[in-house]
Amino acid sequence: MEAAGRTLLEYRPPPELSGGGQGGGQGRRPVVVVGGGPVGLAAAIDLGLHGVPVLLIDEDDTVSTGSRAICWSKRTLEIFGRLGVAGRMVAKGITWNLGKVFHRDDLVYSFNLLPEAGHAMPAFINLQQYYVEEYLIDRAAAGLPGVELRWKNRLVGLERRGDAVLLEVETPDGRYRIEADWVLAADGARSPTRKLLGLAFEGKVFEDRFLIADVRMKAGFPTERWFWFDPPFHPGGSALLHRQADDVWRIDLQLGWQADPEEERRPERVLPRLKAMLGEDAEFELEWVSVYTFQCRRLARFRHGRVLFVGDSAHQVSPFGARGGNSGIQDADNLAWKLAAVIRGEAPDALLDTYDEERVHGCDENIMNSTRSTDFITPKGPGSKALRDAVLSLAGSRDFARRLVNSGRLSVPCSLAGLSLQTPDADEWDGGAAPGTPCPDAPVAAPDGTAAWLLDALGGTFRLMVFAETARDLPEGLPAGITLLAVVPDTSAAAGMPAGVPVLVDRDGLARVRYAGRPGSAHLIRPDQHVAARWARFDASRLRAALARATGTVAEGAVA
Amino acid sequence: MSTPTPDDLYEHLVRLHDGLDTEASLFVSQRLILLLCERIGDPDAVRDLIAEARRGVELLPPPAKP
Repeated sequence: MEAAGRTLLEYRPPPELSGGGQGGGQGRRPVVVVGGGPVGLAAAIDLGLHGVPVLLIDEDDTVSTGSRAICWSKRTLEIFGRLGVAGRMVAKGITWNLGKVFHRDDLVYSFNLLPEAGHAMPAFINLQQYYVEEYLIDRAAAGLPGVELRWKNRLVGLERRGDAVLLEVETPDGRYRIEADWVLAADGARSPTRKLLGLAFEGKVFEDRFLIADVRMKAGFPTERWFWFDPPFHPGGSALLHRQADDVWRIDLQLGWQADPEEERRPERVLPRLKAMLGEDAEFELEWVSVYTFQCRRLARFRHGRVLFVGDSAHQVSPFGARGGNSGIQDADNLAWKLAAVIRGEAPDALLDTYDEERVHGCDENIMNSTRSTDFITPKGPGSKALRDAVLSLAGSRDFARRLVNSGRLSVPCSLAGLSLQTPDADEWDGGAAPGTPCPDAPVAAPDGTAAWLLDALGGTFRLMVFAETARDLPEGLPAGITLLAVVPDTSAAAGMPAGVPVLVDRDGLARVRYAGRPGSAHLIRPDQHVAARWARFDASRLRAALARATGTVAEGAVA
Repeated sequence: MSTPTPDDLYEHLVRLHDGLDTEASLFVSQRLILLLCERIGDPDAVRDLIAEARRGVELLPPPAKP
């Protein structure tokens, strides 16, 4: 691990306890984030970028122990891009596209994520959670003075008082109290915040146990996701092998419900299992071992007044789909701009209810997919086991059966179509990114020819993206709170645009294809880079209505 | 060639299980179901047939009525 992250993780006595008579410390905080994992850090950085002062507290003073979340999806990387940390993650992470599924000795299925050309981010990278956290901590420390991180500050009490939340925090130097307008609970699957509020965390626990082991080895395996059902080296169970940065490999072995989790963690139990898989002579070093159970659970609501739950504290899914860490980052992405707008007084409190609406929707999609994968990997009874084995036995020879093989359907972002903030299409469209869709990226260029990416240009504010060939295609004025972005076919069209309007040249024509853009067509883009509305032709009153709806300011906007 | 009679069909179906224990019988039945699903080619029709097959077969313990 590099030094920067570590230094930044140092505990310092909080001013509330060290200032001698300061008492209230810095006074009331607009936002306190509880939990310094990837989700809490992403939320804090995002709020910081929106100009909101944030205090983040974490009970520990280390980055994550063990690699934990390792598969980061394209959508997550795009969010990290907006936060200014994706470059470092992609450079360090392992970009992969190929997956293979084996049944016993046979390859039954393989997939290629085949990322479409013309996107800044790959389909997936594998990167240990401790690196993701370290890079986010570095980002928060660089140029975001409003974001304060406090380590070894543990939440021990929480009281909701009308328009504020009173937090009690324990440190090595004693306890202090702090008042917050808003609290983001990013404190993980065992969330102390959730327990302090006495909230139920309901769902299913699947009766199976898995061994997770990260080993460091120089191995000849390719950079692919390999999944086995009933392999010769681990009969009756499933196995997964996936590469991470620094020659670390993730190994996951199904143990069954009868396995003793304490016993199975011991090296003398783990090493023979790994040698059976990697070969008696394989040289490897055990980095991290854990035993876990599949669970699919969520809070009934992610918003509880001024306390908002993000990430694992709000929901938990089985792994094998990369839906845990990625969905948490998407929670932070969805919430940060809304909370910032409410704090700045630009949107009503009700906008935060749409965080609950949109992310519960995304969570249910994840839980459905995760439950289906789990039903395949861990059949519940003899009938479902026979069905699963029948699928695997036919998968080698029949496409029909191959398509049913489910070793984890990998995370894709959900669509927010049909939910409160989006304005449904009124015009005819021939495809393209519809309302509710995360914005597709495209290679573009600045008017001077410098290569750029569309998503970088969208940034993190409301945008009206207009496809234009001449200046006549552009609207003349826009309401407050939204900026124009003109997308033009070539540099000569760029030259004809009015001064002061940001212009992108659609150098490969891919933005036009991906948004079904026509001269004069307009897309209203949310700060989290989702399409809120689109029109074949700009119309000021329709834009005003859609913008009001997208910021939760219009009552009828809440009617889907 | 004469048209297969119902008794012919039943004989084919019962022979699927010849010499198999419960586990293997279940396995080949599932293989057959998958092949039939592929042949039918209509997921909605399969869903209706699944509901039909399940009708009157109670869970143990019986399911709570909605």
